[in-house]
Amino acid sequence: LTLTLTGIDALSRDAAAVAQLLYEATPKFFDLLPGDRSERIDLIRKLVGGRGTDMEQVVVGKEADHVVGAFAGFPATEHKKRELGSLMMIARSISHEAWNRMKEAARSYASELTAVPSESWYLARIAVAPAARGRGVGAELLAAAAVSAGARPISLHVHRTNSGAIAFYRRAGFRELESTASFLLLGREPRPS
Amino acid sequence: MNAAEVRDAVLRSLSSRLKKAGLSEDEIDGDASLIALGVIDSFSFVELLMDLQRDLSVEVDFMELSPDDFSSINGLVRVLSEAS
Repeated sequence: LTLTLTGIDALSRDAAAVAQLLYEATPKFFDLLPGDRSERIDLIRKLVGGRGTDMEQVVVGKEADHVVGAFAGFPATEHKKRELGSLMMIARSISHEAWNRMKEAARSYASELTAVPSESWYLARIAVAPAARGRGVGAELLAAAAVSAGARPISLHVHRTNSGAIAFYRRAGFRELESTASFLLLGREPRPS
Repeated sequence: MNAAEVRDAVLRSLSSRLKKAGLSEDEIDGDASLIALGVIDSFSFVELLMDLQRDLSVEVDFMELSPDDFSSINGLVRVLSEAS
C-alpha cells in the first residue's frame, strides 16, 4: 500500500471525489440534506475544505492519483463552531423551503451526538472507498489522524448500525465513552511514540 | 442604521430565549458565544442570522467570518452594523 496524503481546498479537482466518498460513508447523515444524490454530493463538495465547516481540514489519501480515502478532524473545542459553520454553508446553499424541511430531522440527529471531551481531537469524518477496503487504508488514515491529534486523545461518533466501523475502531484501541439511541461516542488515548 | 439600533434589534430577537435561559440583557456577557451559553442552538442561530439580515435589510457574508466573530451579542451587533 502506497498511500499519498494531501490536504485539499474546495477548488481542487479532488473535491468531488472526496465529497462522493464521504457521502457514501455516512448516507444516514447526508440523506438529511435536500435534493437527490448528486445535489447532496454537490452540497458536501462545498463543505469539503470550506472555511469554518467541519470538513475544512480534510486529508485525502490517494493511490496512483486515485482518491481512496479521506478524513477530517479538528480540536474538540471547535466542534460547536464548526457545526455552525457547516449549517451556515448549507443554509445559504439551499432554498428556505428546503431548509425548513430538513431542519427538524437534522436537529434531532445532531441532538444525539453527545458532547465530545473538550481536551480531545475530534475525528469528524473518515471514509475509505469501497474498492480500496481491506488493504489497510483506514488504518493508515487513522495513523495520520493520530499525528494531527498529537498528545490529545481522539474522539469520534459512530452510528450503532455501522458494525464494520465499530469493529475497526475497537481493533484500533478505541473504547466506548458514551452512547445514545443511535450513536456511540468512542475515544482513544494518545499512544506513546 | 447605527449600532444602537442594531443592538436593539438583536436583543429584541433574542429576548424570549434570554428569558428562557434565565439571563437578563444586563448580566449576560456580551462577548460570550450564545451557543456556548446555551441560549440558542446552532440551527436556530442560523435562522436568527437570516431573520436579522432580512429585518435590517443587510447582507453579511458570514462564510468570510469565523463564528467566533459573530456568535456573541457584541459580535452580532458589530458585523450587522458594519454591513449596514
